[in-house]
Amino acid sequence: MAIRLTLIVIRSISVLMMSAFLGANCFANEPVTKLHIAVASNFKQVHQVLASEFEALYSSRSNTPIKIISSSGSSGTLFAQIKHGAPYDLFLSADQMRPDTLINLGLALKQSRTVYAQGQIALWQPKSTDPFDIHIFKTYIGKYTLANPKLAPYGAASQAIMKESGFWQAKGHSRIIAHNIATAFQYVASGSIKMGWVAFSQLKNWEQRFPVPKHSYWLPPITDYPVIHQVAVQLVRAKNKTLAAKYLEFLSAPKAQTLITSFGYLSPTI
Amino acid sequence: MFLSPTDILALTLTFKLALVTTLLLLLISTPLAWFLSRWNSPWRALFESVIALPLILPPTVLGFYLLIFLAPDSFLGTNWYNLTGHQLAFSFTGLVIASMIYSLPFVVQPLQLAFEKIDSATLECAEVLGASSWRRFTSIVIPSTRNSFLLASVLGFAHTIGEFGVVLMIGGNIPGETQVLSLVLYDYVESLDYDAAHRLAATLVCFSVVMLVIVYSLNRGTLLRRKVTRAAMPAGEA
Repeated sequence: MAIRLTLIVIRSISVLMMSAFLGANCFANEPVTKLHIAVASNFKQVHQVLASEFEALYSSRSNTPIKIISSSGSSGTLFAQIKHGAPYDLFLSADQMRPDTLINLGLALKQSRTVYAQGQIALWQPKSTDPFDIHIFKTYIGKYTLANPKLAPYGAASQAIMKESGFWQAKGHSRIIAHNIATAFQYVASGSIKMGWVAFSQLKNWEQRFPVPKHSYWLPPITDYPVIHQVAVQLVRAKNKTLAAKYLEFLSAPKAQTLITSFGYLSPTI
Repeated sequence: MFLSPTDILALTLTFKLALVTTLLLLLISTPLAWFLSRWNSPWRALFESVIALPLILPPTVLGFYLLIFLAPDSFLGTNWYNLTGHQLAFSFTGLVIASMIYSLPFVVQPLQLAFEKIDSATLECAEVLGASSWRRFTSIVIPSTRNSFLLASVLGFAHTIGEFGVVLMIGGNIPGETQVLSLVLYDYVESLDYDAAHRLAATLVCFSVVMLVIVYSLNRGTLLRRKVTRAAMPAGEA
């Protein structure tokens, strides 16, 4: 009896799965113009809003609807994939080094290079009750975190400020180097580390669900650290070149830039 | 809704990938494990080590080299493109190949261990009695190693569902094509959407437990049934 029952369960699961596959296939066969965008994870949230706006805007103007396929990952992983033939049309990196390398390698178009956002770093201490600034390191005891300065431009910016203010070598606190800015944020958000250098855009994102009072973070003056330019490029092997170029235009237009700034970035153009 | 369309698409894709990978692996691993279990040569250790290699290599390292190995400008990638007109890296096919390499030791090793335990005398007896090699395999080897086949399938399936580093490198995170569950989950974590990550992880855990319980109780069921039939046999026949 038990065997028969489990067999029935297995059969119904397999039928369900088959129908799901068929459903997915039907979906893929609709006539649509596809634009495949590789986007750095830190920009994914803004990208989703922008992508659906672009789809709505340009689908109404052309005969076939436009569908944006997004692949997100760390800029480094996406870079390695592009180098080995990943089928992306556009690459929205979290830095400028990787798109520039792709241009030098002849894999991305030089004239397509677009700075679509400028990053801001923030020193975040969720439990802080009073406003603070860099001088907190004079009295702060314990661990703090930052993204790996060698890999992440946000990490390099944090390191520059720490060095400039003389706290990089100071004793009393120990440094935890996170793999990337998302990991650095997780360390602080989870409470494992009490203070850390994160991206201001991450705080804005977090604020949508949890309170982030003004006195819990400090934004250093933008001139105190090297500029964090997030650069987008069109790849040479892009299938739909006109649409890809249109998307880059759309990204730098005032409307998209205003939206980008509302997510905690600075605009390079407005 | 509890799960987003992206999650459901990734869920079906992951199970499809695990299913295809496990079936193909069983096809390849059975003769391979049989060969290794009966092979007496100093080279055997080398072969076994090569098969066990995916256990030792960090998945991202394995994934990176598979990426180079399957890229469109590689030997394999070029030939595959000329043959089929499709790219190997960043496609479902590429993912299946990568998963097969990644999960190979999990399927080969239990089978090989089981095959080694089969008494050669029994097989020789059957041969003397005129049983063909196919008949010997289906009537002696498979029934006596049924549990190991089940174990190998479960391990291969589960290991493929759980893979991350390899698919991260070689998959390209393309929805409906290579975006498997673990990648969607990682994406949620990276973009700070922890609620969605918790939901997906909980679904995955529940589904896996249910699946494993079904498989293991099925296995128990067949064992019990065998005992019952044996007990029900007339005394003279047993």
